[in-house]
Amino acid sequence: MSVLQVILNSIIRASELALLSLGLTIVYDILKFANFAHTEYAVVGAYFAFILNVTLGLPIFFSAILAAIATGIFAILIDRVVFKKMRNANGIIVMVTSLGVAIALRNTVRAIWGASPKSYNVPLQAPIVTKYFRITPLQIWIIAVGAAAMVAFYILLHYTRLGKAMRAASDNPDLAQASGIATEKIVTAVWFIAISFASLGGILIGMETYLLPYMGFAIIIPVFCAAIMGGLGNPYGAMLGALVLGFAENFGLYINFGKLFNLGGLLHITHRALFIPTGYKPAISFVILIVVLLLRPRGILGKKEER
Amino acid sequence: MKILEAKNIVAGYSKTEILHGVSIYLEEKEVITIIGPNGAGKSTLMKAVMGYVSIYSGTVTWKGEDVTHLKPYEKVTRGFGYVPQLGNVFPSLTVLENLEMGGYTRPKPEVRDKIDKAFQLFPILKEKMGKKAGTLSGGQRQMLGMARALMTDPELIMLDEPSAGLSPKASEEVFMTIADIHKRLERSIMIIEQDAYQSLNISDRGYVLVMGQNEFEDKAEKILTNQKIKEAYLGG
Repeated sequence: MSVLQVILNSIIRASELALLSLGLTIVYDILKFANFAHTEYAVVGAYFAFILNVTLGLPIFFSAILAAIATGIFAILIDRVVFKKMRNANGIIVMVTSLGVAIALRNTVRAIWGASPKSYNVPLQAPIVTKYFRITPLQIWIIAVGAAAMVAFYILLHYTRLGKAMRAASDNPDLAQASGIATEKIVTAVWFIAISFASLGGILIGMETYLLPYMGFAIIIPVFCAAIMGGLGNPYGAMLGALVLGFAENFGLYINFGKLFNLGGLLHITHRALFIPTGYKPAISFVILIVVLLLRPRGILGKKEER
Repeated sequence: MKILEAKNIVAGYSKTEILHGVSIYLEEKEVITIIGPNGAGKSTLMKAVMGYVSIYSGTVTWKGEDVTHLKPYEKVTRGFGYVPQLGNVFPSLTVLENLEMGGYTRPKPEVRDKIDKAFQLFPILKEKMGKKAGTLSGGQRQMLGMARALMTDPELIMLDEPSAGLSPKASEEVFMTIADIHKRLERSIMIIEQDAYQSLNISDRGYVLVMGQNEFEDKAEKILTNQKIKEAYLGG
């Protein structure tokens, strides 16, 4: 595998992770709790798209957009029923509640669609193959959607009234109220944006592999890792964290640590090639998470506590 | 005409009662100062009037309307303006964005117009318009806090210890600005102060609050010359 291919794979992975970790971090920022149900919403979105695409026969493009919107609304409804009652509760209590919501969502999905893998009805497309890399049209889409979502989010935050109000509410919720910003409206908008983006991420992952009720649980560690690495609550941190993690996961498996130990031939510590076994890929995000928490508990970009 | 009247306010945080029946009022275009020792409940009173602190009993009346249990953002649309003591700006937003947020409830052309006016009133803010509010000095932050609150053209401006943490010179500037705002815009202003000379100097009336209760109230110049009050609350 060429280096270029590894870079491409890293960017694809980062795009998927960014779509998910961005929402996790903004929900944390405004609502002050770590939402363990976040990736489960992505699964719900992926299965919503499955209904539209496979059951109803809509093209995947429209299915994905409609499912993302529907899941955003679904998240607002769950908020009204569950989280709204806990606005003034301690973040730990809300976090545990979100764990309950996660279990409920995961098992509801399994009860409806079963535990066997499902796939979208997507026309098979030939990959683009060159001397150095190979990429499928879907993977190009993943990168494009990821990048577009990040740009859209930047524009939202800095150039729209809603986005500025979101930043204001994040900075100083009391003062935001004193400026006439109704906090609940911001909360509603944050849920919608966070969960729509997460759904797009879930759908793209489902398109690249397949749909499983447990896929949310499988991806929760890397998503939290990316968000925490960049500084929980900081949207640009979450993007950066996703990028770092995407590269770490792919280069972690690509690098021959045997050569590294021998300093590229200067030393002769080992004669064997040493690679991290593929099965340990999920462990990479764990290890990075632990190292970040030890060295920079507030993350690389860390959110400043200014008063 | 009384613009604001708070009657027998009993309020506090969850189970800790801090105000035990405080009453104050404000006439239209009047400036009042509330003084009192630390922990007297001055800030709590202002927060209760604004709607941040739950009021157990008593009423807040705004131009004849009962607004006791309205949320802060609902009071903003009624004409309340509030500059808290801590966190009086949005630190990660630029000065300009802070002002835009102040005008959140207002239509865009009006906001633009108000920003121009704010820059006339606070020329320093125009210079710093693209800078993040977190980089401003304490005095500049206080100016920005007031400018932000003025964006909605409030009929009542509540200032919680505007001189807190400022150098004597900066604090003097802040009070000159407040007097200037009052002269130009003719609004009602309520000020909380610990170091109250400057504040009472620009006020019509004053209240002394002790242990969550009204201790004393009078015309500002009379409080300033009252020997007992002077000794007890104005540091001699």
